[in-house]
Amino acid sequence: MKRTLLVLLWALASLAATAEAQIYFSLNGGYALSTNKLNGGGIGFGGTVGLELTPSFSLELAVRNWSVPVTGSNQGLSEGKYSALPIELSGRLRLPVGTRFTLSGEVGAGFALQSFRLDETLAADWASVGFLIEESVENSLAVHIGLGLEFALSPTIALDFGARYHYLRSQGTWTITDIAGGESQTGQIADLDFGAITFSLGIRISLLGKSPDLR
Amino acid sequence: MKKSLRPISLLGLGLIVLWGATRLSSNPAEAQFIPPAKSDVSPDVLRPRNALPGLDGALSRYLELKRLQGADAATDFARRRGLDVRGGAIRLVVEIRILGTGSLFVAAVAQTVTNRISSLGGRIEIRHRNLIQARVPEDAVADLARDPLVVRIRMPRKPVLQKVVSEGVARTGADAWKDLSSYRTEPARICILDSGFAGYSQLLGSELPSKVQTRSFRTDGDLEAGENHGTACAEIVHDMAPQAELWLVNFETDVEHYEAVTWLVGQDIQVVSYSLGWYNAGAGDGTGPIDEDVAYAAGNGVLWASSAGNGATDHWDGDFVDTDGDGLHEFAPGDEILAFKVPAFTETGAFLNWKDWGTWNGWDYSGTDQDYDLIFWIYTGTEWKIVDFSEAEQSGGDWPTEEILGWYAERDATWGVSIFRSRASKNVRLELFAYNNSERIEYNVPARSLTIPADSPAAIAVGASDAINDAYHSYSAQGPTWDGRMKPDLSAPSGVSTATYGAENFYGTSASAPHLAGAFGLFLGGTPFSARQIRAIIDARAVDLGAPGRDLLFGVGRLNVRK
Repeated sequence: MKRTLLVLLWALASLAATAEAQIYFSLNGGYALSTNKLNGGGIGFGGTVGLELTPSFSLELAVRNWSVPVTGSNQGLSEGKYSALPIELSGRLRLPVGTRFTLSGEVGAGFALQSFRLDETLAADWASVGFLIEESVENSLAVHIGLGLEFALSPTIALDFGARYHYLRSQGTWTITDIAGGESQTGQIADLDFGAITFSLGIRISLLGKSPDLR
Repeated sequence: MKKSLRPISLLGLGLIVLWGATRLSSNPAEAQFIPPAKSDVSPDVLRPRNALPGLDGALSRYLELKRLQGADAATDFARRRGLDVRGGAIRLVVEIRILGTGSLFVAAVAQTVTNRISSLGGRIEIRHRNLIQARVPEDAVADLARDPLVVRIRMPRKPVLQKVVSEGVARTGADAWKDLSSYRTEPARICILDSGFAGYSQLLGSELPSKVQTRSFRTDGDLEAGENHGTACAEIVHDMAPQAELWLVNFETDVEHYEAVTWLVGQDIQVVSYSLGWYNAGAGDGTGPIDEDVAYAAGNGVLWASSAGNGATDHWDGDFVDTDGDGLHEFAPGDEILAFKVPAFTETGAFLNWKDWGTWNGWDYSGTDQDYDLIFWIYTGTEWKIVDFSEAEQSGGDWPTEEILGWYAERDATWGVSIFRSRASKNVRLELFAYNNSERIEYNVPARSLTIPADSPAAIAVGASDAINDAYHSYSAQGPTWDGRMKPDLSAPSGVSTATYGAENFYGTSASAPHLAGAFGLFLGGTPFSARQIRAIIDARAVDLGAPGRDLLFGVGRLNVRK
């Protein structure tokens, strides 16, 4: 994974060095709303490194993270907290509107690191009757599409609002173990839907290359 | 208590004296006893005259009594022996001859015998493998017994409630499960297989789930059957496993039992709570028809929680000894009566079997030709008086069992049992259970006192421990089995509160078995473990009681579902 990231960063830097491109980064925070009704919503944050190849198109490498509560079901995950950390490469089409606003649309794909933490009370309840319950989710590919609106505060700084739909499917594993006797039972949880719509507000700062025109 | 017996020829005289001295009855409602005539108590009638080979002794004696002494004497005898005679027809079980090993052979013979019974005016109630339960006109029984396709005609066998009469939820830790929802499984299906569920409908939604499944295998379809024992057991199961789906199923006879078990396996029942015990229904070594049913259910994944039995203080076993040559077993030198006390108006009796069952072939035992009989006594305060004797004849291929039931007295009384070597070429190992004694019987041998099917390797036999302090309850049956296996498997609370019994606590291994069944329901309905794993988990968690490690009183220990 680290290697992939380094390769992507190297590719972006090479592009920036060979073109009259602008490199920018942004930091953002926001809210993730699960599309699966068994999961809830939660706050998230992220960071992006972008390369504006033309005034209307840029490539971005983004890392986002959000956590949502899982209500729990007998077939899916139990009650707990799910976290996603997708690392995605995306292309963004930009459409300037007026002197300070820019509309954008993006499509991206990558790899999502994922984790699940069983609700502590639930785990304690099962422990009180002598069972250790463990559940986990596997990492998987991630895809997203999104819309954005930027508002330039200065030639190098802009506010960045984004709304994205993340398609995320994975599978999990559960294990229950009798603490005293050691009897254990394990199973797979197939087709877990962690799709989410994320809303983010961030700040974008240009570092290299041309500054955006403030017409 | 030492007792010397006069020769058996004096038994008749003693009985005649008795009727004037003690008022006895077999029917509390009437509180009257119709004494047998002199001919009925002479030694000659220890075996019914004109007995037909293959015809159960009690049936023979009933028919003989009716012929010789009339309807009143026969009716009284039928009441005491539990013969079901209505409208001139007797309810009985016909065992057919097995001509081949294939099921087609059996079915063909069964159909032929069925037709024969119908042609004699009988009515078939239920059929199972080589057994036909039917109501047959009295005057046709002898004809039927002569049919070459009929091996044996007997009374339907019936189980005995393991009731001596729930704090067990907290004791076992089941209360710790109350906030847990099912983990990757569905609520368990638990069947309470019992004799009756009187009053269950009034408890729905409170002491029982708001909805239960019911099925009666009695021929009259009466689920309640005037007996609330099953209801109390169901209450405990529900207390232990509130999420479990309960199936209340009852039966009356051994043939109906077979049908019930076959049916419940077909309903994907996962747990059976069985607070019944059978005397004389097998060799006590894991074989016999009832054990076979349990093995069938367990083979289909059913966890069978069976009460160990309440017979530890009712039980005696030993080799036949007769140093004075009078044919009567000597429980101790000079003592040929085993005594026990029974409260007023409490039905009593005794069950005898001897360890000469022969080979079990999956359907039946090859049987015995060693014939022993029971003699039943009451102590008047000054002397012993004979009141009854058993009459089953073992002439080859017959089960080595005798029983006497249906007696009670209008005051607390001391009763006695003697064992008579009627026609035998060898001395055998004897096993005796007194029924409904209030205290430990004389010469009590608690070991090997399990009732059937607690001896089955497929049943998880549950002994009784006190719901408050884990003390051993003295009535709780002890192992080992007659083939030397450790039993019971574990113990569970007894002496618990139920709405069914109200102010009386529910005592007996009858109360213990549903605690285990409920625990199975908790694990099966709460976790995804297999039945095999759940048995291992329950064994690992049991709280060791009594002698360190597994023992013959508590098994692996007291049920504990917490951790």
